[in-house]
Parts: sequence; structure tokens; C-alpha cells
Amino acid sequence: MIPNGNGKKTIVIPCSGIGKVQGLIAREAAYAAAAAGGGELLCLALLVSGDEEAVSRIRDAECITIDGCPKLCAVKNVEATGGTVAKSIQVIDVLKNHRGAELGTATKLADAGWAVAHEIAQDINHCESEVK
Amino acid sequence: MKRAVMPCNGLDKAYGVLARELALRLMETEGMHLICPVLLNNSPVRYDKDLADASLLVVDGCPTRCASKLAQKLGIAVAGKMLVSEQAKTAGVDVGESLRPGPVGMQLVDAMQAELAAQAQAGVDGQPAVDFDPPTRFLTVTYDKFVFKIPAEGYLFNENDCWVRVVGNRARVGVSDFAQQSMTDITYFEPTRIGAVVEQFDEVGSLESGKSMMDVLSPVSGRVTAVNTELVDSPELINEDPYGRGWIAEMELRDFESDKALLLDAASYSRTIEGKAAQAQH
Amino acid sequence: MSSTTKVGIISCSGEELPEGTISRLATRRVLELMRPGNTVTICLPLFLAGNEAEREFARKHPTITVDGCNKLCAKKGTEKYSGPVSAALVVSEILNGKCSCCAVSAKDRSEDDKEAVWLVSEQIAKAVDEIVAGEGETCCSDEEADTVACGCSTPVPGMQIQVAGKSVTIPGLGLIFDHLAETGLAADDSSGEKLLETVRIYHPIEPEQEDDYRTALTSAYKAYRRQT
Repeated sequence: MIPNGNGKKTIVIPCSGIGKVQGLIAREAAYAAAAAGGGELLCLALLVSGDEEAVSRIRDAECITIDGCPKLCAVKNVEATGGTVAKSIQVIDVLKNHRGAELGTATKLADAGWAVAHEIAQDINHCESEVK
Repeated sequence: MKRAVMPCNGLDKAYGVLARELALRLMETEGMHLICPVLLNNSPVRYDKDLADASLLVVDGCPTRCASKLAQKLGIAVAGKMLVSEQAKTAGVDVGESLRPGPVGMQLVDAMQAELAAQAQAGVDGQPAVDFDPPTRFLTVTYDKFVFKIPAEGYLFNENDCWVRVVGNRARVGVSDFAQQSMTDITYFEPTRIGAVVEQFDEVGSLESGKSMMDVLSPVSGRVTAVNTELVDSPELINEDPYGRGWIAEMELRDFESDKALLLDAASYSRTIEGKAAQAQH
Repeated sequence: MSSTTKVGIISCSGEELPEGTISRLATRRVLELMRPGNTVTICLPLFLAGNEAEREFARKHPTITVDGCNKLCAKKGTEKYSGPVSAALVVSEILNGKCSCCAVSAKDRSEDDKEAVWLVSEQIAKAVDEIVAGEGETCCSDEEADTVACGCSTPVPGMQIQVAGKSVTIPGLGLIFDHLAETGLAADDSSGEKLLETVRIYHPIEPEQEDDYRTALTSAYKAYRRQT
């Protein structure tokens, strides 16, 4: 559990969209951020299905969402279940600084895809350390 | 018309320094009002008078496009954009890394000022027309879970999934709903040059997504009179509204009667994409 | 008979457990390699967020859910927004304890993960076949395709074998042979049944063709093992 400056824990929630490489980047970025102490992970589907434990976890937490595309499934679903989105990251916005990069596929990231995932993870960890 | 220029605040890159140099040049030699992005961000009202009814040129140093993003954030209309890094790449120029402008950098500033002047002399100010109403009625083609919309009237298409809408002697072009869904999330848009004269099926812009790249092949021949600069910072508009806000370029037509012979109406294009959808991998 | 049945597959993609990653990869494998002509993947987060196109497809077509664990998020979500599912698979039940060494992240993937993905994807493909057979059809054949794409989009070449004097290309047969060799399948006449059982998951085989395929596959497997 990583308490931030106002005592709330941070939960990282990727969209994990299965159809595009951005969904995989969001997922791997969340893993990397959590592994480096940037927050806890939470299954988006578990939250939306109304799992009591998942819902209670976000109640007093600050959520960092990572969405693969502008459909913003993670943001929408977190807010719909009563969570507070402290920071919304869109992989698409990060990709605008990686023009021409070979990102990989929906199941396997290429080197550039991993680089984007790590960049997002670093952004999350930096954000987390700022609010401590 | 009143003209204003806003450079980015790139102090730590050579391109940012050159953006500032170009803005200073335009202020000194062409009387443009110079807009400081930092002051604008902190106190937008300070520039109300300078920006009222002004044609604003935004000069960014690098693809982060801080000045363009600021204008967008503040809802300020932008008439033209210049990206120094792109200009350097196109010209094959290496400006180095020094934060003091050198001879090579100043030559690039000369070239950029000359290009702006050429655009102005062409008699085209890049302002898009306002009478291209978006479509209200659509045909649809459904394949698996995907629904592709095609405007029922007023639009013609080429086999390369680009559309044209003609009003008088002017045309607006873009890419179809099928094209944008096939590409998925579009992350880059590169416009063509205002004033460019194109043949039918010449490129009038290019798109890039995480999945693919696409050249926008003009369904018509003519001269480019405006490009949708909003797409440079917000290429996702093409995904959101491919027949409306996602338009790519406007043109003055040259020979639409001949061009029409090679274009498809909504019904014909629907049949075309039925076949393409079956082959495409989504 | 050429198949027109489309089956939707909704994977949970749960991030907290390796089973969520396995469900995702296995679903993509079925979509891209094993049953490309008969399956459509439905994005669960998009589905839950209210995308009508995803929900409408699940209403109109038979749908399989693949959940990582017994929380059954995909199944519950599908039933809530679209209706009953045609089949509900649970990765933890399929693997039955075999996933203890599997990883959540791709960077930590091992042979255990690969094995788990194969096992789950085979079960998904079987479920697809049952649904398609229920419509009186068989799954689309890839006989005309020389290659298909693996889940990671790497082209997977087909291998030609002779079945009752006729040349047949089976996509990914080399990979299938490699996989069976790793599991210890002997390169002799006793392997015919296992070869037939595994290959028919990827390539349609009519009942009357079984003997010919069994013979052909045994011969091809022996030859393959001699060369590798």
C-alpha cells in the first residue's frame, strides 16, 4: 500500500483493451509502475462487476487510470463505480512523441512498445512521489 | 488584416530558439504583433486587443508543440502553423544543438519567412470555407461488430477510401469512416501545402496510427486552398468525426466533370467496402 | 459446407492474476491462428463502458466468455448487458493448478506460460467448434492459406503433407509438431491418435478422413523428428 501526501493510497487501473497494442501498453505500464512502488493494481472488470472488495478499495483511494484509446474505458468505468480519477493517462497522447515507432501487436510488444510502457510507468511513479 | 505571431518558449532546444528568431523577424520586418506564450498563459486578457480579429501564426520548435497546445487550450483560433523541426528536416538542414542561433539556423529562418511570404502571395490565407455542412443521413455497412457509415448524399468516394464534397467550385476532402476504423486511433496528421496544385489521386496529406500509415489521395484535381490545421494537434478528430470536423483539405476545383467519372457514389462505395471489410483484419 | 457462423469471444484480461493474462493471450490465439474465420473478439472494458456495437454483437451472435478466475467478470458482464452466453470457460479450472509459475507481465513469460496458453486456446477452439457444429456447419478451413498470423502477428508457415494421395497444407503444423515433441510424444506408430486429436483442433478433419489423416500425420511427424 502506497499512501500519498494526503494519506490516500494510489491504485493503478489500466484498460487492458484486447483489440489494440495500446491496450497491452497500458497493461504493461501498470505492471511496471506497480512493481516500482507506484501503486496497487486493480482489475477494471472486477471493479465494474461490483466486486465488494474492489469497490471498497477505490472508495478512499486516488486512482490513476491508463487508457489505450480515446474511448476512455478505464476513466468511465472507475467514475461510474464511484472512484476518483486523480490522473488519467492516455497512451495515444504519449504515442504522439513516438512517431513512426514499431510498437508491436495486441499480444506482443516490440522494443518501442516497451519503451512507451516504461515511460508511462515512470510518469506514474514520478507523479506518485510528487504527492507524497 | 491584423496579424500576430506566437512562438513557443523553447529555451532548451535549438529549434525553440529559432522559433523565437522567426517570430522576432516577422515582428520587425512585417509588423506582426508578437505574443508571449508565458504571459498569454498567465494573463490571457493581456492580449485580447492584439488577438481580436487577428490572423494568428503559431511557430513551434519541436513536435511537443507547446504553443499550438496553448492556443488550443485557450480556444484561440489559429490561422497558420510552422514547425521548425519539420522545416529543418524537409530542408535537410542540421541546425546543431547550440542555444545561440548560428548561420545555418538563421538561413533556415530566412527560408521559413520566404515560405510564409509565398503562401501569402498565392492569395490564399488558409481560411477554410464555412458552408460545408456535415452529413445528416447515412447508409451503413455492417461486418461482424463493425458498422461503417457512408453519407447517403452529397459525397463521392475514390477506391482509396477518400471522400469529396463539392459546393460550387470548391471541394472539401477527407477519409471515410471505413478508413478511420481500419486505421484505429490516428496519432499523426501531416497536411499538404496550401497553394499546392494536385492531380486526381495525388497525395493531400498523410495519416499515421499505431497500426498503419495512409496517404490521403485526393479524389479530385485542383489547388489546395485550406488544410485542417486542427488535426495536427488533434488527429483523433478524424476518428471521431471523419465527415465533419475530421476534414483534411479544401480545394479549388480544376476539372470536376472529368474527375467525377472515376468516383463512386454512396451506394457503389458501400458495395466496395463490403468486399474490403471481409478481407480486412480488425 | 462453408461456415458463416461468427462466435464472439470475451476475455476478462484481468490484470491482477496470471490467469487474466493467459485468458487474453489464448483468446487472441484462437482469433488469429486457430479459428480466424469464425471468431470475433469483444473488448470487455469497451463492452462494460457501454459500447453498443460490442453489446449488440454479443446479443445477436453466440458468445463465449473466458474468465481468468471464478469471479467470472466477463460472464457476469455479458449476461447483464447482452444475455446468456453460449459457453463460459474459466482459465483457473482448465489449468487446474498448472499456472503457478505463470507471469502477469510479458517480460517474465516462460515455457509454462506458453503451455498454459496452448491448453486454454485449445479449449476455446473446441467450444467454438461445438457452437459452429450446432449451426450445422464446420469451421472455416485455412486450406487455401499458406500462412496465418500467430497471436503476435508473426507469419506462421503451413506444412504440406500427403493425405490419401492429395496434398494438404496445414498452417502451423511445424509448431504443433514441436509442441508435441516437447511434451514427449514418441515418433512412432503409437503417436497417431494424439496427432489426430491435436491437429483437428486447428484443421477440420471429417470422420471419414480420420484414418488417412492419422497415417499421413504419423508419417510426417516421424520425418519431421528425424530432421530436427
